[in-house]
Amino acid sequence: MLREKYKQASIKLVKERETTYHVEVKINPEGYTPSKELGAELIEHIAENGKRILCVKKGSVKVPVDKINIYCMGKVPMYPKEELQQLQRLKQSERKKFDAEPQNEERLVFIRDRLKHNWERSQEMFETIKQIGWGDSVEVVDRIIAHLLSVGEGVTVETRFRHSSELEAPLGGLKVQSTWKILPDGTKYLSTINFIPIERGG
Amino acid sequence: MNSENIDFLTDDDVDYKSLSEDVLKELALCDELFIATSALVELRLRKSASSAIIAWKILSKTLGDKYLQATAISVLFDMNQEQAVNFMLKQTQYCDPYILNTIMELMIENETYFKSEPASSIVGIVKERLQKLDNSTKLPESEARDRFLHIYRYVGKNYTSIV
Repeated sequence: MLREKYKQASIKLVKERETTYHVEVKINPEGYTPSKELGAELIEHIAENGKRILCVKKGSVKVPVDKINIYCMGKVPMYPKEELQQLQRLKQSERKKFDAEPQNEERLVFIRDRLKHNWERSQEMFETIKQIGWGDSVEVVDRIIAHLLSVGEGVTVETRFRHSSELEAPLGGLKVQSTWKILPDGTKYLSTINFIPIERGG
Repeated sequence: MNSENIDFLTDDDVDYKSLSEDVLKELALCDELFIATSALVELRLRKSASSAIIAWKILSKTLGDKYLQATAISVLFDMNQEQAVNFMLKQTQYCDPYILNTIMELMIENETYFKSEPASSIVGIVKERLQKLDNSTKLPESEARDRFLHIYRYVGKNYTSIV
């Protein structure tokens, strides 16, 4: 149940005495925890479908951790490349056999058009981060989240859609395009994010 | 759930199978591109006629990014081949190399279709583009180039590899 509730939870049975054990649970063990400097807290936002979304919250701004830590950092799981190649070859060379089993087409569409393209988008987002001199680290996620917390503070109903901001890094800058939801209690919630590299002249 | 509440979630958290067609149609055009891509694919898997309409909207208005547009080309080809071929005839010459790679993959998968008119006209356009591209470019993928050139070696203009 804990593993269902939290995407990343390590559960360890720790022996205290001969017949006594206790369960040690670490929530989000390899995931992101905001640094103290951020002055923010890790909270759960409960979505309408009951999903618990891990967010960094500061004041009235909430940034969902996975949108940054997974999607922007190239951690969308790799698609099954070999299976896709097999299906594509079967479709090309043994069409009758391929068509005889409708699941083949469904699986091909699912892998080729959904898993592959979403994985490649995530990879490109991370490439953009690498191009400006950053890597996959808690510090980088911290920097991006800190930027978004600051952006979120200033967004209004009028500026919440495709809000443009700039993030500076060692080797250049990133244009960050973010869209925010403003909840009835005034909370500003990051709903989408996209990166566009800034080309510097000279 | 309605589409307004879904972009709180990440793509991985959404159960697309449980969503109505109307919600999927809205999501396929939303700004959260991971979700838009998955919603469009779910419409296609349901063989919904609206998947072709949404795919065409994405392509004709250049919505989203190259990844969503690549999904849209495949969906349009599956659901409305004539419209997809007309799009390819007009855009193959100029499109992003990632989109070109997707078009080539479709052509490799559907050899018989693309060896007949009018779709066969696209073969020559692809060959011309390949000729102009440096061999070291990442896209189209080398495997797609090799297979395409092998399958269509006797169709359209000849291609000479740039060394």
